[in-house]
Parts: sequence; structure tokens; C-alpha cells
Amino acid sequence: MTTVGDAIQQDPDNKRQFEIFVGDVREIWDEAIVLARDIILRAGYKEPDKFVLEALDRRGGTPVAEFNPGVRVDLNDKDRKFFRVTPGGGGRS
Amino acid sequence: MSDSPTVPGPLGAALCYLREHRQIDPRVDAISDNFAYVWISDLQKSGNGQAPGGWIRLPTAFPFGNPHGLVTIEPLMRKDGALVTDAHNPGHDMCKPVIDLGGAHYYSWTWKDCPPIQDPKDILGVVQWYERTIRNG
Repeated sequence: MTTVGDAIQQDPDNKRQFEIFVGDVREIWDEAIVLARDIILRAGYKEPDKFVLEALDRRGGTPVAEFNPGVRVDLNDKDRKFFRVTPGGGGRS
Repeated sequence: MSDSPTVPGPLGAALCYLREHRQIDPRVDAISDNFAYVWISDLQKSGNGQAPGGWIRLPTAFPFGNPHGLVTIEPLMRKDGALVTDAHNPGHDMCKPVIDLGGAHYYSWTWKDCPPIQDPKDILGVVQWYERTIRNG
């Protein structure tokens, strides 16, 4: 079985890869700067523009930042390992 | 504390899902006008020192209807200590079903422009949406 760590070490170009978790879904990205929309889409959401990506301080933890779908996320930044996807929108009555 | 009212199947399934995935015990404290007042004990607040928790209003037809409003015991505060004024209705009639439990502040937030709710499992996102709305309130 290949673990994420193995995959990173076996990358022939020795490029850095970024392992993140969106809820229980694991994603591996080859670049540090990724559109929030793409992260949401890869997590299985068919209409990513209706959601917001939230970065958490730990797995299942507290949101520390949120990204609308069109915003770039820098996976090099602190607290960019664990995420959750939350519905966007909302009104007042 | 009053006995927890019985909730219909799909809403009950949603609460079970929430119980399993958030490791809390969501409690239906009242049902009024086809809405269940569901106490979420770990609902996160923004203000320093604010205890978590609040009643989210879910239609008894959930997931075939949308959430509408939040009732809290204390008024919500922002991180900077200022009160959340967005759609804040202190002492509103919507608090009455849980007034004996301390419900005193109604926030009339709606599901407008949110993604459609289609499955009892969507309740997880609904609770997160409340937390995001509180945070940005």
C-alpha cells in the first residue's frame, strides 16, 4: 500500500505535494496555490459555486478562514491542512 | 426540562446523523408552527467567552423544507465584542416555544440563495451554515 508520505517521496521530480483533508476526503495537490472551487469540486460537490470552503485549525476543529469559490488558497499557509465545505448564501426575513 | 417531542422520520434520521458525525446530542425542545426547535449544544459563537449552543429552527418536513432562524439565550457578539445586529429580534414571538428554557433572542436568518437541501445528511452543512452566519453576522 502506498501512503501519502510514500507518494511524496516517490515523486520523480521531487516536487512538493500538498495533502489536505476536506472533511473525510483526502486530496493531493501538486501546486500550492489552488482555487477554492477546485478543492470543493474534488471533494465531490457538483455545484461548488454554491458553497464556501472553510479552513480549520485542526481536523474537525474551528474555522479560521473562509474562501469563496473564486478565491485562491495558498496551501503553504498556516492552517491549510484541514477544511470543511459549508453552504453559501443566506437571507433575512 | 421538558420531554423531547417526537420528530418525524426524515428529521429524526437527520438528528441521528448529526449525533454520529458531530458527537453531540441534538435535542428537540419544542415544535411550533411546523418547525422544530433543535438545541445544538456545540454551536460555535464568535464572541470571546460566549458559551456555545443555540436552537436552530428546522421544518418538521426537513429535508423537504428549509431552516429558518436561530434562537439564543444570550445575544450574539462579534469577535470585537460588538453585538450582532443583523436580523436580531430580542424577545420576538419566535422565542416563545423555548422561552422557559431561556430562549430570548431571535435571528431571522433564511436559507435564501443557499444550495438546495436534499438529504437528511445535509443537516451537517446546515449547522455549519449557522456557525458561518453567526461568525459573519
